[in-house]
Amino acid sequence: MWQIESNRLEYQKFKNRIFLFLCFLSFIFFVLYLRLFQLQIIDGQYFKKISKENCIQILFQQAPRGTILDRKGEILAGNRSAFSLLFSPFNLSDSDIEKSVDKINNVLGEDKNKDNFIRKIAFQKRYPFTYACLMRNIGRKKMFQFAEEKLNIPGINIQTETVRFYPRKNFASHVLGYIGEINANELMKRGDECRQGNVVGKIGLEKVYDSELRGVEGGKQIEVDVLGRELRVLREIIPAKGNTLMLTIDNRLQILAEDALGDAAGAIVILDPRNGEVLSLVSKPDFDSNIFTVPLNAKEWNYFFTSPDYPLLNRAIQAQYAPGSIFKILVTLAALEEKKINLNDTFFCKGFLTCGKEERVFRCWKRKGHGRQNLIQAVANSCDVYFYEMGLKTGVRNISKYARKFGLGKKTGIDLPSEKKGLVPSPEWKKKKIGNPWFDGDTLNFSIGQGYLLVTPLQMANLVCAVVNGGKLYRPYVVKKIFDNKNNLIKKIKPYKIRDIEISDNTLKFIKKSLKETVEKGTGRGAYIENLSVGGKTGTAENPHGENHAWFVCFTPVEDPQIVICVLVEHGGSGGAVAAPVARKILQGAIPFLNKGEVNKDVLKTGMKNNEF
Amino acid sequence: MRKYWHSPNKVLFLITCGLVVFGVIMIYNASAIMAERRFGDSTLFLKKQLFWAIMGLFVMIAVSKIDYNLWQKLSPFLLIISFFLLLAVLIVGKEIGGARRWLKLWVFTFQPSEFAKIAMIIYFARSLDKKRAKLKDFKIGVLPHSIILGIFFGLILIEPDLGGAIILASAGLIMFFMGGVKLLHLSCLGLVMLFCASISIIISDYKIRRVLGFLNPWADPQSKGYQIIQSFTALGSGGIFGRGLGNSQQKLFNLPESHTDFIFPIIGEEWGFVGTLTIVFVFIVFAWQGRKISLKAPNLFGSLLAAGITFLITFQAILNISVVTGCLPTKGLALPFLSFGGSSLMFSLIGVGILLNVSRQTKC
Repeated sequence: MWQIESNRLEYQKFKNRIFLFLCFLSFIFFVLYLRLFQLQIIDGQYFKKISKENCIQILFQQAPRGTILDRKGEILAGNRSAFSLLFSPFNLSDSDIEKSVDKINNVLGEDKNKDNFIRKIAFQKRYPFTYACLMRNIGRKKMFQFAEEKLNIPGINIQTETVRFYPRKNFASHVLGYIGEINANELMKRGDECRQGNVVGKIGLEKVYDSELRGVEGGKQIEVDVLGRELRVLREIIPAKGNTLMLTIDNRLQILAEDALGDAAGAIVILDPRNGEVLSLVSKPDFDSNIFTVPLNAKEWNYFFTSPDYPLLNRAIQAQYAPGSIFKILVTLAALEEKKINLNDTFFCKGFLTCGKEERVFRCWKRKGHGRQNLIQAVANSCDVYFYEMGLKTGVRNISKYARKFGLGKKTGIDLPSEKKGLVPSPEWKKKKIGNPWFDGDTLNFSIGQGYLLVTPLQMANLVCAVVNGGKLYRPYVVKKIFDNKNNLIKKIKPYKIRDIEISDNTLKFIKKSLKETVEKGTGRGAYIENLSVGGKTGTAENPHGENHAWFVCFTPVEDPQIVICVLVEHGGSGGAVAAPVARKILQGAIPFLNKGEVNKDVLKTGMKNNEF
Repeated sequence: MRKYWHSPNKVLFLITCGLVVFGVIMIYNASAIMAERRFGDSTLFLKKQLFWAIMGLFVMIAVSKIDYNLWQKLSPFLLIISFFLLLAVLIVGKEIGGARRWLKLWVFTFQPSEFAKIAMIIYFARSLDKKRAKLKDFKIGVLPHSIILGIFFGLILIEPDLGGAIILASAGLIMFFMGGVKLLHLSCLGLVMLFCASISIIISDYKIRRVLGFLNPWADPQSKGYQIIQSFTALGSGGIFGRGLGNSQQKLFNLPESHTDFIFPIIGEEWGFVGTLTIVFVFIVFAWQGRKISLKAPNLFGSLLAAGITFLITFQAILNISVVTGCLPTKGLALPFLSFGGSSLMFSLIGVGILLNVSRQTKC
């Protein structure tokens, strides 16, 4: 009881201080009361009037999305202005609304949207001061008509908006992606950044770089009269355009590749082996990204989301296939590096090999057999029997080890969404997932790129890059530079080396030589071009569900590789007959690109047509 | 020891619970439409606040059963933890609107400055009690406390959280005053703090705009004074009896932060002058109960602690109401118990818990 035991004087002083302190608080409370009295009682009527008479509306203005450029500065995705028809239901009775909607339909000259409009307006009525967007993109002519009729149709308003525009339509659609209204899931994830009704990137770069591209939303708070006419702007925030992305994609190479693949389903990846830049990335079937800037109709929706063609699937990074014989590049490398085989070792190919207790037969693709083959011949002719023998000698563990070193079984880390990681099998994996032990037969399948092994075209392109550049595994990337909306460079993305892989000079030299031989004399003749030194490998991936998938990977020039091309044609059949000629078309057009960084214009006829925008 | 305890101050307990419940209702009421519009879930803020309210009331009851003298022993640890949390928030804090005030712990965001306020009051109460004989000596009585207070004040100021820093500094000064430090020392200290705060206002652009908006909100209704005018409109259109629960116009996107710092104008709009009068009166009753507890506490530490906590909560309420009525420039300050926000509510309730425990041990 300090009030008594310590000297009473101290307690008395404390009591005084508390009293003083309370006086201070009381004074402030008194001031606050006066202030509240003034605001609520004296000025109350005035503020009531303001609150009642001022009808305030809020107009959000979405910022123009940042531009996407190719490596030379060509516009791949931009904006254009469009007119939207807005409707503010606040103040209006239901019968007035219906009258207005009828008048709107008169101007539009069609009646089919009536229910849709009424529903939208009814929804918006729950949020006073805001507009329902009845129709986007109404066109210049209709815009003027509505502007003339504005006084006769209470509630309507016209807003100029910027709409995402992809001038080249289907060009690189899987890389660019598309945009759409934000859904509940995305809203939860990005709560603070976005608002319901915002437009965000859904796939591709639009999604990955959405925060860069979206800019800062603006808005206007306007005071309107009873007819919905704007009286004055209370507050306006000008939207700020998003940042500009400059890609590593070369638009001419991309066009070349898209044309070369034609209408076939498949993928093409072109990489620069010196730094991992993605020069082209094609996936077919593709789509026109512009379609998604307005709501899809039922037919379109069904096509995009339920069709077995999977047009939205980016086959270059999201589809996994067995690599087939193009995997032999890696098996050769593993065998040579682990010194399991000598350059001069030969095997006899009688068209098949038997294996295991049950004498299972493993065939070579050439039923008659290749006869006696040395390693270089085996690569050039893609002799399966030779690789069966070599695979058994090298062992599954060594092949798996090298496959992983070169990035298989793992995402490459490219700056595009939903990349698949593929699968590199191993005895432990098989035991765990399938429950059976690993058989020699599995090794045989593995060494010709069949069986459990799964890869994406991008992974194979990147693997070839790392082989031909002497063991430097880069992370492929699509965005090279980011500029702000005043065109200042704010970020430059540097090549990122995942790891260095040791490859002896002899092995490297041999692999390049054998792959050159493949194109000149072997299975890859379909890609042969006079006076251009190309190394390549064909592959035909067995597909239990239908026609085989055709693969071809190549690089040029062999001595100092500048580009690596990986072609996959789904259900194309043989790699040599189908995929190699596709690569040849690209190579032919790319000759000037190799020399001066330009592309041969003669082979760009269709491309130029797209380019007219 | 415990057997000498009696029941806690019932008035304090009841008004606290009342304010918390009323706050939950008003937050839901003010935020429902905004939450539905922005997040597609009208009960988003209700759910969060309800969770914290229930947690907070439990914690308050738990704290009221802990002997408050324990805090005296824990004081150095609390101070050190609080210091590191304030450092951490500057380094790894979550940035919202250009300020680093929140630490993200799992799914909760936590505001270390709220913790710092309580820790600082406990530290001051303990230290001023221990040195009570030498408080008139500047070197022993004032300097060490001022240095610690200054460090915390600075850390909060650079987040930046001017409102939080001012609350902390004023709490420190009031504790000095209660402890009986010389008025001369006190006023010097006050001037130094005022100087620091002014510097921080001058060097940051947005705060200048806030101050300008405060000095004459009608000069430029479109931007600077926007929020405060909307706040006036809300309060004013409430009149004497208000528009009635749920009928606020201003909460519909006109008044930003209407569920957090600007909840008072919404209360004013829906409940009128009668409502605002009552809320202010409840805070006066709160302060009065705090005074009673402080005067009857069994030791000086308890008296100082009770006075400090009472001041902390009452003063925050005063500042918040002054801001929304345009008596002070806009700054981020919650209205205790009523504004949306987990940390603020939790630490206010912990404070009341400590007060309640002091009230269990009062004599005479």
